[in-house]
Amino acid sequence: MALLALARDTVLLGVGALGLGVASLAARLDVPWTPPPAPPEPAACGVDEALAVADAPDLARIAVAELRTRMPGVVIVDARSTEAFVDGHIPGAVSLPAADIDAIIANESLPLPVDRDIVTYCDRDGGVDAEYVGRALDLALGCDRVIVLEGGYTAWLAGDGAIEGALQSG
Amino acid sequence: MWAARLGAAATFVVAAVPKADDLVGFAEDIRNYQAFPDWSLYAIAAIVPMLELVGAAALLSTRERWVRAGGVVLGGLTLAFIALIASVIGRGIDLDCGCFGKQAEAEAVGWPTLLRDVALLGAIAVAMVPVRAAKPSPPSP
Repeated sequence: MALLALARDTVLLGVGALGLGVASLAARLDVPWTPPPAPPEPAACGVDEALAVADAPDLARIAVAELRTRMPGVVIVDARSTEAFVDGHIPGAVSLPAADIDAIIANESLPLPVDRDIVTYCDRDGGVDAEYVGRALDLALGCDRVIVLEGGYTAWLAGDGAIEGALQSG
Repeated sequence: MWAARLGAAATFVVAAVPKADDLVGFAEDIRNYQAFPDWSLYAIAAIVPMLELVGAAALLSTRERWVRAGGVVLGGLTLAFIALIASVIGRGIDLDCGCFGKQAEAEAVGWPTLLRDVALLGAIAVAMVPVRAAKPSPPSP
C-alpha cells in the first residue's frame, strides 16, 4: 500500500511538472519551433563540402601582430603537411594537417584544450588548408572560437616571427 | 535529514532556474549529448527544470509523503543524469554539461560531474529518511 501511495504521489508530481513544462513552453511562443541547427558530421565532410557550407559564417581573421599579443593564450594549429611542420612552425603550434583532420576528428582524438581560442594557419593568405581545418574544428567544437591567421606562415616569417623546427635559426 | 533536504533542494533550484529561463540554450546543451531526437529537445528542456523545481519543493514539504515522492522524482532524474554522463564519458564526447544552465565558464562533462551526481543521489536518499522515523507514529484519528 505504501508503495502504491508513493507511486501515486510521484505520478502526481510528474504530472504537475509536465503541466508546468507545457505552460512554460506555451508562454514562450516566440521561441523558434525548429530545433537549433545540428552541426554537420565533420567526419563526412570533404574539402569541397566543408568549404561549400553556404550558411556557415566566415571564420574570423587575426593579424600576425595581434596573434603575438595573444600568445600563448590561444591554441595555434598548423594545417600544413607534417613535413612542412617539421621543417619549421610557429612556436607552440600543434600539427593538424588538413589531409588528416577528418580522421583525427572521427577518432575523437583532438589534442586541443576546450577553453581557448584556436588559430589555424597554412602557407599563405587565403590558403585552403587553414580554412578547411578551421571549418572542421569549428564544426567539431561548435564554439565559434576558431580564427584563421591572415597571411599564414608566410606573413609570420615576414614579420620576423620566431620559429621552431629543423630550419630553426640559432 | 533537514540539511540533506535543504542541500538537495537548493542544488536543484539553483540548477533549474537558469535552464527554465534559457530554454533554447538548454535545448542546445541537450542536443550535444547526442542521445535524444530533435523533436524532443524543447519538450525535455521545458520539463526537466520543472521536474527539478517541483521535486525540490516537494522535498521541502512538511508532509513526509510528498518528501518521499519528491525524492523519487529527483532521484530518478539524478539516475538519468548519471546514466547520460556515463554514456558521454564512454563515447568520449567533449561537451558543456549544461547542468546549471549556460555558464560563462563552461563545465565539461567528466568524472567530477559523475561523482557530484552520485553524491547528490546520496543526499536525496538521506533526505528521504522520515524525520520522525524513530518516534512511534501517532494513532490515526
